[in-house]
Amino acid sequence: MKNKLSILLLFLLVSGCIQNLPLDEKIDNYELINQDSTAVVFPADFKSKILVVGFIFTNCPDICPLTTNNMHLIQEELKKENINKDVQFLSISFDPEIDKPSVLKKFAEVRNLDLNNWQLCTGTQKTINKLLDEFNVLAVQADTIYLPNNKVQYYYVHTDRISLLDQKGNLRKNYPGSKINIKEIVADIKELENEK
Amino acid sequence: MKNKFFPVIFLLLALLVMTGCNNNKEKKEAVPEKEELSIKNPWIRPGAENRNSAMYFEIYNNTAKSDTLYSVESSLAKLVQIHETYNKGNDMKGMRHVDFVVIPAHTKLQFKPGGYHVMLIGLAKDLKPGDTGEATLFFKLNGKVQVRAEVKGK
Repeated sequence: MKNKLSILLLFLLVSGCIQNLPLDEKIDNYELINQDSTAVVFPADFKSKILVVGFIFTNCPDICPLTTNNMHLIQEELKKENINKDVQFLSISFDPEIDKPSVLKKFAEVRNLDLNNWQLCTGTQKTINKLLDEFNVLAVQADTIYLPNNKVQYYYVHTDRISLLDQKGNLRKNYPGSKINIKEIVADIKELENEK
Repeated sequence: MKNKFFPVIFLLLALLVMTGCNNNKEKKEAVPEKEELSIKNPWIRPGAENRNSAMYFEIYNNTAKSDTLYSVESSLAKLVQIHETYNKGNDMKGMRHVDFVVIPAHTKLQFKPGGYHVMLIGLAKDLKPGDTGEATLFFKLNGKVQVRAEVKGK
């Protein structure tokens, strides 16, 4: 009997330690601008919504499109589960010099992204730097390429990240953006739904 | 006499026919794959004019010698290079230009998201899902290989 009780207590202890949503960090508000050149205050403007936030730069041909594709897959899965309307998707660019609203709009257009609950945002370099710092996302300019017309293009070494924020705008969990487990984040979103 | 041996003869004939069919099948399966270098499952990511995209494919080197992909040309973009995505540690990802890629004899090498890719830098036009584009791959031993790929994905 004592053994069974010990095992039960140990199980309860371990279950308590393993949390699906390990973070609960308040996020400051940031003045951003979206693909339609509309001002956005992130995350305040999306209160009451669960936020799926991806960090990208549009000149990235490989990792950031993977992150974007994964966000699309999450969106499609949520549509099937009929909880898509409670979730807002945000792609935040860490390359504001290049990723102007028109560039972000085109990025979404050629990929047929469903912008009903998805915005692509940028901001001033200062704002973006502060935001990245708070999310512990690093983006460092690395390789530079000279195009035939002598224009320079640079690439970033950057954190591979999708973040999940709850309805109060608190950061609850981080995932590897290009390799995220879709089932895991959908389950986490459902858990946030139940926290309401 | 006729009735007694008929089933045996019938069975023998049936066996011969079946064996014959089976031999044909074996012969068909025994034909060796072509000893050649080939490109399979090519595709291109969508991208906007003047922006970047990437092309992916699988290289099957079914020859007895290693070969080297050292260049790619395409009218799809201002500049075309072979790149690879790499892990920088701490969930950091980067991308770098590589001069060439070696495909050992009798192996397959994948150009895939998160790994090797043909970087299309400065697209000549929008590439949307359903569009197609061409590229020429240059191999040291096998020379030029033309690839036609569809645009798909996000």
